[in-house]
Amino acid sequence: MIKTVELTKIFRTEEVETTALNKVSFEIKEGEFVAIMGPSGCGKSTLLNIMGLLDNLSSGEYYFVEKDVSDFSEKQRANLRKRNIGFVFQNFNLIDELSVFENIELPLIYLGMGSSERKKRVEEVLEQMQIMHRRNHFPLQLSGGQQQRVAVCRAVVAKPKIILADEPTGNLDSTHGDEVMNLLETLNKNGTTIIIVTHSQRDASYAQRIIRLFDGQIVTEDKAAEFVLASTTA
Amino acid sequence: MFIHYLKTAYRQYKSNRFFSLINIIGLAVAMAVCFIIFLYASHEFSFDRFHEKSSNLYRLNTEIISPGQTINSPITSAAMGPDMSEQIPEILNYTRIQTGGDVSVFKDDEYYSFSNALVADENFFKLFSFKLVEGNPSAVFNEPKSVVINKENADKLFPEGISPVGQTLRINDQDGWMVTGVIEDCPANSHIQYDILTSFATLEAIGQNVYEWDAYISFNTYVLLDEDFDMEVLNKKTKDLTWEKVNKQLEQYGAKIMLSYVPITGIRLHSNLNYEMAETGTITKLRWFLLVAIFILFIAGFNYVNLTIASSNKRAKETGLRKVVGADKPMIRKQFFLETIIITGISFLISLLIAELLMPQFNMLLALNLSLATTPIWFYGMAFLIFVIFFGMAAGLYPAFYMAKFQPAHILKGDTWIKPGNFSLRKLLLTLQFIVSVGLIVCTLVVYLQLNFFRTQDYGFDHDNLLAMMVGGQTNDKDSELLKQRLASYPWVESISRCSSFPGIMEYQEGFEFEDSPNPMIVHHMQADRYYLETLKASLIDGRFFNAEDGTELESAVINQELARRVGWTDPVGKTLTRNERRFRVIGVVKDYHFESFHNPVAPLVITALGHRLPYTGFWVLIRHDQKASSEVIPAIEKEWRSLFPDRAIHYGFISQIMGDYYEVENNFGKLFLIFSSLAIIIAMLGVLGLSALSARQRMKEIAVRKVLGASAHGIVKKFSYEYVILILVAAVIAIPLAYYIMDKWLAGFAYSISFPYWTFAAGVIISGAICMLIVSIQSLKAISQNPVETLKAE
Repeated sequence: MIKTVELTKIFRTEEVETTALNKVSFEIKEGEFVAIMGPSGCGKSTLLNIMGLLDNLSSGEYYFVEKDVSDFSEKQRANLRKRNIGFVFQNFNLIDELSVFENIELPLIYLGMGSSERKKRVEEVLEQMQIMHRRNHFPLQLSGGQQQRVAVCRAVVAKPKIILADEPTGNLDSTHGDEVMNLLETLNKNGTTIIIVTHSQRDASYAQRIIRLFDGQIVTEDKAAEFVLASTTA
Repeated sequence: MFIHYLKTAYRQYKSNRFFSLINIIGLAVAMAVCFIIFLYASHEFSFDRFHEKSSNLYRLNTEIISPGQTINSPITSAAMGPDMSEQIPEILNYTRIQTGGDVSVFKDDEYYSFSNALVADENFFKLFSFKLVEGNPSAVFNEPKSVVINKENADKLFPEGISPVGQTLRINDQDGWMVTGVIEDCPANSHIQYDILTSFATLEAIGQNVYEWDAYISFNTYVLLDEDFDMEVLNKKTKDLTWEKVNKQLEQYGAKIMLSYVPITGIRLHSNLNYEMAETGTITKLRWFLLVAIFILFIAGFNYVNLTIASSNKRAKETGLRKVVGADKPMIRKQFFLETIIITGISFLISLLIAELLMPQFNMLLALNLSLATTPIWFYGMAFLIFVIFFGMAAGLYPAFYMAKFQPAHILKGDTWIKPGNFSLRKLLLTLQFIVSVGLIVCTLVVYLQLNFFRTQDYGFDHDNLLAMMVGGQTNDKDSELLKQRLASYPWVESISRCSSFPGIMEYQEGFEFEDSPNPMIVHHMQADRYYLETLKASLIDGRFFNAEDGTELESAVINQELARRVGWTDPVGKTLTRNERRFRVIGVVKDYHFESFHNPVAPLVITALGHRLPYTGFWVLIRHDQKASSEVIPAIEKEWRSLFPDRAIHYGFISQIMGDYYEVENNFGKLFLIFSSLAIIIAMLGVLGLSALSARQRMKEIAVRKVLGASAHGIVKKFSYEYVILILVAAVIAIPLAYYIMDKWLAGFAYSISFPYWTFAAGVIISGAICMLIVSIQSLKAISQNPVETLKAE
């Protein structure tokens, strides 16, 4: 599903050059649940942005659904992204001026779907995530947990092959955090590939595999259960 | 998707009320001003185009050249049209009109006043498309003493059910005028204005010489030219005919008449001659207004672009998210374009309301009768296209492309896309706004000072407390003397005089020959009694004025300094001048006084004593009254008039008002220019308000940190104002030479003007700077008053 070969990302300003990712190579198969971990500034989010086709790489190769997308234009990346990837962010990133229904509907609008089909699809996910009663509320009227639930709805409504979540529970208490992780787990069980970036071992325990980054490089790739076990026994 | 964009736009405006309001108010006011100015432009360009034959209708202009003097006017003799039409094949037809000004019409014993009397010949309706409501267009002017009245007055004069045609009227003091037709009210966009027309045949019937080329040069002649005429050939033929008819005789005096043709459709906009029937040369005014309109539109557009970009930090997250969930650049652009179009659309609707409110004031100041209700639908369509679509696209272009460039990866990471105070387009647009502001303030001040100069200039006589009464009719010599004697007995009459002209009404010019000068000259000629000079309070610089009874100094003349200068007399008293074998000896020289407006330099003047009547002039009684008795003057003169001439209408006017009317056009132009410039400056400052508010909001964290570190409010305000001061100074460097260039040229168009007031440059910069600093300081102080702890916590 996803494969990187010596993926490198360098940020340049007038005076400073920072290597965010340094020759990172890994592969994620369809249907996997992978967690990316590491300390702050290790390049986790940069990697997630590149995997999500939001940012381009400086060198190396990136294969998305068997296609080399390293040299894709912004338009091509946008096209690929809207059909295949859903995003969940730590700070929810809902549009404050749009209602719950409209926020979830947004990806479908950009896919050019007709309004009746959109309505059907949005109502399905609202039902599924049990927030139908909040459909006409605006983000600022919701709790953090509810907002993240809406963000998950928005991520899944277009039925993407892969969901990328950047610290999805970072702004939530443990009860709401578990709720969100359970949602992601359920989606994974239904066949969606899930990749999360997290600091939380609790969240990582939901993953089947953990990629650990340090200073822009992969230091280990573990099975999640082993890693969790190791860290609890250590 | 469209509905979604609409919804988003609406909610954006709601959550950004302050900035949306600044944008909408600025745009709506700008559009309203432009709408009115465009409507005015369309009105001016439509002048005389309603005539079916307008593309081939021309007016004859004359240039009377005599040594040392050239007079350009549209005035011709009555003989030119028919002769030219007969001998020049390119001229298919002609018509002649003569303006008659105010006339009094009596029906039975009722009196009606008409203000735009015209004499028209039998071809009037063959060339022009004025429509007769009643009467036969090819016969209404065939007979002497025929009169055609306009619909509005016909309805007043004759009750419903009675046809005016066939009724008789008395006009001024002549009975027996037969109404032969009723004409539609004169269109506002016609340079020929009428409310009553009398037949040219009347002049022929009373034996007026309408057959000589140099007799009674007092008509306007219009010609219909062949479709395929060649102007060069036509001019040549005209020149040849003019030589035959008149110039051959004039050559001995070193004088000649040159005739030229101007298209009727260009008269209103471009003509700039003496003795025009109505205001002409409006293109200059129009250009000024259009320039201001464009400035205003640009300023409002810049505000929109500036505020949208400056507030784009807030929209960046939204744009980034839209891209994350699938929007590509064209979709983002479409969204922002649509938002701009919605803003311009709403502004356009509001602008129509504002235009409706401003219109009466505008109409009053430009003596127009424009109305939104009668504006054709195509004009609204054009305005919509220009303001909403073109302007909306132009204003939305940069923000749309700018927003579409946002990289979601950066935005979602929380990067501030715009670093405050560090983007050059905003500075560029602000600088342009300041250029316009400083420039307009300078221009407005110069216009005001020049107009004030007119008001306060020394005319060379005292025009206050001076009143003139016209005495017309066959016996005006005797009647005016009678009136003068009656009025002279009032204690408030300081001085009273009889004359044929006075400052403000100088309509008679004649050719004279002068001792020691080989060149004859056409000069203003008037007659006055011995009290004229003291009544005017004008001064004599040499010799004496008339001092004997009327009719006893018929060989004497008083001239003005300008005439002596033109003729080259250094010691004029005792010199002679001749007119048609009549010799006059100069007995005195009057100091130059302005008997015409300050638009023209003082012209040469000959004053002769009352006694032998000048053709075509009436008698005026000039009264200087005690200012303290102002309220008694009008009732008294009306009472005396009624007792002496009960069946005649009274005509009088105050000289200060008559002279003031000369500047009415400029005064009103000045007022409108001031209004529009003020609006432009207000819109520009609204932009500054919006930008400084945004800037303060974006720099809240910086302000908080500075406060925590001990910065004073004064220091912070100073720092924030600094950027604007620099921009204003840069703008001043560009605006000042531009304003100087434009205004210096404008002032050069006046015969008398102020010397350039350079202090206005400083005023422009200081006024713009002060308003701007006030706004920026208030916004900064508002930000400073926030608790830094709260701000830093929120950040």
